Amino acid sequence: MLGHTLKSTVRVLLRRKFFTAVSLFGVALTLVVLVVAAALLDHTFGPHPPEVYSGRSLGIFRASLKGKSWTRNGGPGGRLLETCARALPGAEITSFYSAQDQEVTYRDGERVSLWVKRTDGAFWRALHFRFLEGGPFTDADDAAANAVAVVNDATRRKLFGDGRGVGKTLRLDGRTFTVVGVVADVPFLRAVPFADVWLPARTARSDAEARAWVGELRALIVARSRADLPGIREEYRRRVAAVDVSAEPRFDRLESEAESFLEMGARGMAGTSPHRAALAVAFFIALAVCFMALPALNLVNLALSRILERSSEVGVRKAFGATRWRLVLQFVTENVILSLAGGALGIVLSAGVLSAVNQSGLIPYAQLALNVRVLLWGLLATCVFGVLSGALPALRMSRLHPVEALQGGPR
Amino acid sequence: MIRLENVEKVYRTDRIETIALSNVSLDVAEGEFVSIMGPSGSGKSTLLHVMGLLDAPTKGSVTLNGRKVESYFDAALAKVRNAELGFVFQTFHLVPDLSVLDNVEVPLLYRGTGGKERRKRAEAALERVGLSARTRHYPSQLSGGQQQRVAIARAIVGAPRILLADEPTGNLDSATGDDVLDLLKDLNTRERCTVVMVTHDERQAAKTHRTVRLFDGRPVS
Repeated sequence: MLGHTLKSTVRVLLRRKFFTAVSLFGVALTLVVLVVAAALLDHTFGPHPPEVYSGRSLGIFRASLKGKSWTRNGGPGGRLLETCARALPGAEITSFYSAQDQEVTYRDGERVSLWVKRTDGAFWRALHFRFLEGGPFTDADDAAANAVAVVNDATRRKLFGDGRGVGKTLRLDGRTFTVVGVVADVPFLRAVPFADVWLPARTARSDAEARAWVGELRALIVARSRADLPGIREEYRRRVAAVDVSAEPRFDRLESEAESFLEMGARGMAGTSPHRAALAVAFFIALAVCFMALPALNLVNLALSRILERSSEVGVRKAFGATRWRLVLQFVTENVILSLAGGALGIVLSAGVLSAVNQSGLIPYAQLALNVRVLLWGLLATCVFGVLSGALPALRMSRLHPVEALQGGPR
Repeated sequence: MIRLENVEKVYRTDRIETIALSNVSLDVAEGEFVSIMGPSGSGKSTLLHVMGLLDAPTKGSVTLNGRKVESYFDAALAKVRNAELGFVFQTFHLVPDLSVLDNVEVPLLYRGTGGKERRKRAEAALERVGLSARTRHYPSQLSGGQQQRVAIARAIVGAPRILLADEPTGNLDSATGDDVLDLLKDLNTRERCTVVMVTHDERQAAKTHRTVRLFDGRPVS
């Protein structure tokens, strides 16, 4: 039966070349947008190295000091993290690091702008970077504020050419740092690990950050297991609520919470709702469905006109024993086959678009790729698309009275 | 084999009511070759559609092979049509996107016959109508007479006991029409297939066992 449907589908599609081209283009274009969007989301939130523990990790990214008329928003400061985020029960690794900041160095008199992140030694245990040379700096390096640095491969090439990076020096913030490790480039969209240069936290010139409740630090907490995550969130919330900020003029309370990376990303969309991650996922799914609906409607019209031309075939098939549901299955299968062909074209186009985005430098160090997850989502979207756009015309045609169908359509 | 009792068929639109068949009773015995004649609009095709369970009568009853057709639900009718009936249409109604062989296989698809068996039976049916050399052709590559032969092969591939032909020679020249009629007669004689044929052609009607004449939806003698 499937072979029969396949043969018939191929002949119908080849007979109506213009219709086929329009349909394939519609499906392919829709899929390109969906696959690129899925690849971007996967690239940003997917469990890729160096974030190998993302399934059992939490971050502290935001903090607010609040008073009757005043609010100070930012990242957590050193004082908040030391007071509330150290030794949380269930935490296996706790790392404090700064948000990346752009700093400038010079090579042969030429200005080179670099993203710099200051971290502790635990940062390198919480994240598994791929070291191309040397290794990370340690807790001891941080404690002693040793002027050592880890750079990414792009920075090594930019500053030191084709030679090795380890042992070379670079000047940042008025100090000379010696490179102890070179890591593979981490994409810009991976907010937690991304930087061009990583320096020990205590090499910062000012300790103002360390004394602040609200500042520009971040915390990364790797739990022993996923089951420990709720306890960590709760304990952190409890400790923050217990902080006395009465010594701060204009402020009377502190707010901060431990959250997942997806929740952090969903803040802009759904605020501080405890369900923001689910809301964001639902929003993206709804957006994808809406985005698919328009071309699907277009395809419904095209499919309807194509099937209406075949009313005599519907009549014949009914006369020879096809039930309504057999006909629905046949026409939906035809549409799914068409959509899958469009989907295959879309995947090829998507690979081209992703490669172009990677090479364009639009997203620094982007490594957008068609991985299995993205492909499966694409395949699912294509099948949904095929069923959506094929079901309505198929149902309508299958309802035709056999005599009407034989006479060329509804009277 | 086929019994119609007091069959009435009325088509209704918002304003108009058209009586296509009125009080038609008819018996067709097994192995008979019956022709139905009448002027255009007399209800010949409607009668054939009611006999073939393609259309439900407004009143009256249809009995096929001793079983009264009482349920007009889609799946039940589809099963009876597939097992008991074969159709031949004036305009052939071959599926243009399927090869000759695939067209003939269509009735077997809906009774779950396996691919090899389907092919074997379709080839045998095409051989029976003298078209075994055209299996890979498409309908548009055949003459009208050849297309009607394919349609007959499709109608007999499932070995139905009743063949319903709606002006099968209406779109053919007289020589080709005679060939097609000879084929139907041959099926009737050799395979005891009951044939009911709508025709306008007195000459062809004369070759059948008997003729039922309709006028304004009523049988006339």
